[in-house]
Amino acid sequence: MTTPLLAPAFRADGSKRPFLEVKDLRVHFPTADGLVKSVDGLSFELERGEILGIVGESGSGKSVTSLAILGLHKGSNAMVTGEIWLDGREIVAATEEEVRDLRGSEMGMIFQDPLSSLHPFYSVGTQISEAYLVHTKVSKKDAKAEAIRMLEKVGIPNAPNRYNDYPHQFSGGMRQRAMIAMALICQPQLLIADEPTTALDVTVQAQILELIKELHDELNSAVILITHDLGVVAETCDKVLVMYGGQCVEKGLVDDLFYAPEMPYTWGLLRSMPRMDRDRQTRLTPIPGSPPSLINVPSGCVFNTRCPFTDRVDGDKCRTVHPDLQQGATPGHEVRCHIPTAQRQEIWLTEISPNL
Amino acid sequence: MIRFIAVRLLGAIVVVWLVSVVTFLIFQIVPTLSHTSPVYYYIGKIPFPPDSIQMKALTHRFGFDLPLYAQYWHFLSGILFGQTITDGVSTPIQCSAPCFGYSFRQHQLVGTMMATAAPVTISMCIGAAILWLIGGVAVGTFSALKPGSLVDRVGMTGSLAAVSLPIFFTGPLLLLIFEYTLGVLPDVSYLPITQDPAQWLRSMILPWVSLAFLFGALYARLTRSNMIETMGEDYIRTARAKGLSRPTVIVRHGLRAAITPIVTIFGIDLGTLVGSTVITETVFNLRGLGYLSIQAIQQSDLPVILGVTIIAAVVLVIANFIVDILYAFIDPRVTVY
Amino acid sequence: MKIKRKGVVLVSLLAATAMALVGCSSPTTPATTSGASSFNAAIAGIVNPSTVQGGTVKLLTSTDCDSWDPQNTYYGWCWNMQRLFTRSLIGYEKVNGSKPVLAPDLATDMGTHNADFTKWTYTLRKGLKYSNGADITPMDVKYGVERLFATDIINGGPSSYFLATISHPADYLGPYKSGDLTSIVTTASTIEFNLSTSYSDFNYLMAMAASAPVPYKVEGGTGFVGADYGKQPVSSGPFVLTKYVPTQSVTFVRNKFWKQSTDKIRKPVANEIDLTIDSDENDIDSKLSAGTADARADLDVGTTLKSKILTNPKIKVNADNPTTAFTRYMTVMPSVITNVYCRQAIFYAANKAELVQAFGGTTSGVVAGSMTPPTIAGHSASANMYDSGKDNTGDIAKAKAALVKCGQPNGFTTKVAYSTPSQLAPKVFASLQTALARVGIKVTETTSAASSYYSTFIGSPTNIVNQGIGIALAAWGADFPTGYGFWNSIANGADIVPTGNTNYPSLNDPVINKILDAAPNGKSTDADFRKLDDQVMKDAVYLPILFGKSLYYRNPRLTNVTSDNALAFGLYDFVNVGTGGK
Repeated sequence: MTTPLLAPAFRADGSKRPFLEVKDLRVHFPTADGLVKSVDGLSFELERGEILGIVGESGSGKSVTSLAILGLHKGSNAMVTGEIWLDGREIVAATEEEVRDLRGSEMGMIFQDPLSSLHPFYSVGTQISEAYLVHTKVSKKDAKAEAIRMLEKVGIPNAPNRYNDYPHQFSGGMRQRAMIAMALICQPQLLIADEPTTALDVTVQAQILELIKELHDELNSAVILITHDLGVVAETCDKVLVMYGGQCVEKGLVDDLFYAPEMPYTWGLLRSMPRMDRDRQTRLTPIPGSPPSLINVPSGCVFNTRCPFTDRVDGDKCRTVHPDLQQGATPGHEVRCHIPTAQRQEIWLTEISPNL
Repeated sequence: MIRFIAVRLLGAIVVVWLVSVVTFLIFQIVPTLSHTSPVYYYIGKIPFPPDSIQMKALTHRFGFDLPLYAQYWHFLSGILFGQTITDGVSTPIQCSAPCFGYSFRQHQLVGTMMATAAPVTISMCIGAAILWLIGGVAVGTFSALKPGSLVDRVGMTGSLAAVSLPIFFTGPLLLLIFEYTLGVLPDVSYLPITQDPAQWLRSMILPWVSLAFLFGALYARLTRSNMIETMGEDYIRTARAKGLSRPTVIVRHGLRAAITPIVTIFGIDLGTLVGSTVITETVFNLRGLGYLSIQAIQQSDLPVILGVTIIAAVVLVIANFIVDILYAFIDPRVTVY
Repeated sequence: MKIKRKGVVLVSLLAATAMALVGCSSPTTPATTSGASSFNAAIAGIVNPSTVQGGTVKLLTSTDCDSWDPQNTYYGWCWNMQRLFTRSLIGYEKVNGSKPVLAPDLATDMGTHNADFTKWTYTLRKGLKYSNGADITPMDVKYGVERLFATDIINGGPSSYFLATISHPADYLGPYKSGDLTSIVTTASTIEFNLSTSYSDFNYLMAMAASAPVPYKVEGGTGFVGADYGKQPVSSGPFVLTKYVPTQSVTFVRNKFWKQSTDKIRKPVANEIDLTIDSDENDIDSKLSAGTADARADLDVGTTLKSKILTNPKIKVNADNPTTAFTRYMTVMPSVITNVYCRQAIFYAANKAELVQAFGGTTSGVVAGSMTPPTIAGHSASANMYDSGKDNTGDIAKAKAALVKCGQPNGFTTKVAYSTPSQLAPKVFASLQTALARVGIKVTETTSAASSYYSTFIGSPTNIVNQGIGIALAAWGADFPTGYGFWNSIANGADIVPTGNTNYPSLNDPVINKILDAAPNGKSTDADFRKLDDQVMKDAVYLPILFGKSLYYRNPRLTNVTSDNALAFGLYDFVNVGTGGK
């Protein structure tokens, strides 16, 4: 028998695969200066209806990850290894043509800068209906009607008239709405939103996030929300994955991450986040130092160059031994840190949390 | 949009008018700088003594006894409204607008001479332009899709070679190969397309190829660099993320954007080419505008030189104008006021 | 003032032949007998003499005539074509060989003149008719000449000769504006010209197409008057121009009103002569080679056919390489290089053999020892005052000796002028530069656009001094083959003018002036012109380089072929040419 005994939706051990499973994903770019390890051993799972937030600084590998899921590194010089299973189909090893079929229909993506991400020479409407036409066998007229419906749905006023407008004639928020309409017109089961609100002002940010949430509820799709804004995550997501230096340093449910974070980097992120619900006691504290080089990744823990707690670990372990992602205080909460769990909880409660 | 076109059109008209003033002044003033009466250029020989009745009659005949502004107005009104060329004895020549005057050396209206020559030049330029645009853009696009690949290297080395080879090298080379050695295109002379399309095509192939070779190379390099830049744009990533097929992404999204600046250059190149085909027409023995102008210059046939210069300028200005308008259509971001 | 339009045409003619690289030494002693075809047979003889009538002669030209109006044309080849359809009082009975001969044409004899050559009277033959059947009258001859004065309407022809000789009021502007001239008196059968100056060469003016009769006031009919006459000229000759498509073709058929009995100088045999204008030189060459065309009417053969002629003896028998009445020379300016020995040094040092090569090789010219070309009185094949050695490469020893006499034993520096654009002149300059450097004379170039070169550059004695132009390239072919016609405009001290001067070196030598001043009175003999030529050479202001040569090709089927050395630089005299009836 050459056909697999198990349907692809099941793992070799017979367990059912989650809707999205990323397993030991590595995306490396060979450059003249050396190998850039943009994503190095990333794994996570996501079910339909869940919203996963991926947070981290710029260059931590968030966007590269999302592009890998969409298979957009194919045809470039990026070296992608590991596995990405989407609804039972593996993407890393699949051909461009196979993945292309999934893009737009199974997975949609909202990019961070809607102005540069929309083609300047085509009307917004055309670009949206184009996405619809490629996956559905309908007439151009029907596609247009659908695109207008989508534009209305994402809250573009006077959509039939705005259909023919060009991206530069839209405001920033409207452009992002249009991007969302484009990403969702085929009702994808996975939506990846890469910093969807970065370029927008605060009130519009909230509207866009609300929109994404609404549509998510309606379609019951899985959403990956990539952001560097923890506030956005707190408001929107079910699960959070913190990336640093191309690796996942902590992941868990939103509550775990916000109320019992265990990784010093996450603490740093929280300290740098403005809080509206409390009086501000001190100035916001940025994380000292700069993100690690992805070519010469520090030995030991990737965060060791900026971590203020390396002295809490015996010997020089932080600089010599690369910590594994291990379960933290609660199941499903995973942390990449040498400090023992109990000690981490104590530091959080006594040193970090009171100062937030 | 109408206002945009109107403004550009007005600008174009002003430029053409300035060109007419400058060329008119050049050709009226330069002869006097060398102490030669412009009469010389009209009759083609050393005129009669300045104080003779013959010289005065000729000066009056050609209007050189009028003040400069009046001479210019005569010239301009001829172009705008036409004029009647008469010596008071011979049959008056009705020169309808746009009247570029009369070549007293060739006994022909300059307009007629240019109208005979123009189809040759236009055939040559348009055909060559189509060839080089298609060829150049195709080579450039394929090169850009895989920079550094064999296709890219062959394409770019080839185009570097082609761009360095002037027409007076490639032209005779092609003639040597196809006309004299292989005899594939035996000595062909130009016939209008309306008269004999096959002959027209035969006479045009070599000029087209050699011009296309030169210009196509430029366009290949230009397309390549534009295309490489475009393919790195965010909107290309968006297009791929939508699940569009590779050809659609390359052509509809990539090439569409990459080719836009090329359209500008193309329009201007075409305009320039029409006005500067001297070498190509000489090499291929074509009697177009370039040949007409070189002949007129050799004979110092002033009215013809003046006419061809203005036409060349007008073609260039029109090309620019069309490019402007076209650009507004193909790049919606261009503000149309 | 004389106009060198024919010279201008010739420059391009020579330029065309000069493009060939193949040189060839040609025997310059042409056969004088008539008969079978051989190389150069048509220069002095008649190839394939035949009286067989009929047939169509097919001629090609690369350009249209400047005009088909006899009073409005100045191209040598067009004067040759005018012989087909226009006659004048006097004509050339013999156009070939070294000595063209005039004969009465419309006139009954060579005319009579008074003692000082200021009054010329001719009687017209009887029974002369135009192609429209109308009679040719003395009034028409007068009218034709008057048209030359209407320079604001007709200005392409050799008007200046007539303006300078025929008495006229200062404000006379031709028949259209000023009516008829009283100085030309006609009766029913005679015409009398009263001149403002003695002019013994007047018959040569009367032999120009410019003197052809034009129907008085009617001209070519409605719509063909003035500048339009050239579109439909009325014929007085054996052929009539029936169909003229400017820049495309001209068709001549026989003029049924022309009678052989009234014409003593033409013996036409062909029924029709077709002239096709083909701007493609290569195409002309291939049609001539293929025999689908009979001859080229305007210029030398192109480079393709030239190389065939020079390499294939079978083709060469159908070609002629006549020497023509055209001299290429250098003016050595006495106003700049004042010492005659310094000028002589240039004469001796010049490498004429190299210069001929630079001008296109031996088919384009033959080394000239003195200024007077063949066919002009005073020409001497042996005259060579400044012998530049057996191989004409220059005599260095004599040049150095001349420099010593001049007091500049190490040479000197001067400028060489030529007109641009030119393919040949830069090569000529380079050749001269190399040759003169051998004796220490250093030259630099100075150029001027062709449009102003002759009028204000070397045509202005002041400019020559101001610019320090020591040497200037020039060429000259006379409009009619007499000593006076050749020399007067380039050597008469009385004709020096501030601009448009044609006596570039401002030569003002009493010996020369005397001969030239006596000439219009008929008092200068051929021997005088021989003496004049020597005197010019003694003055060392004109350094002759070559006498122009042209290479022509005739279809073997052509009959009665001979060169026209009188009007058209040795082109074939097409009026008598036939095709054996085919």
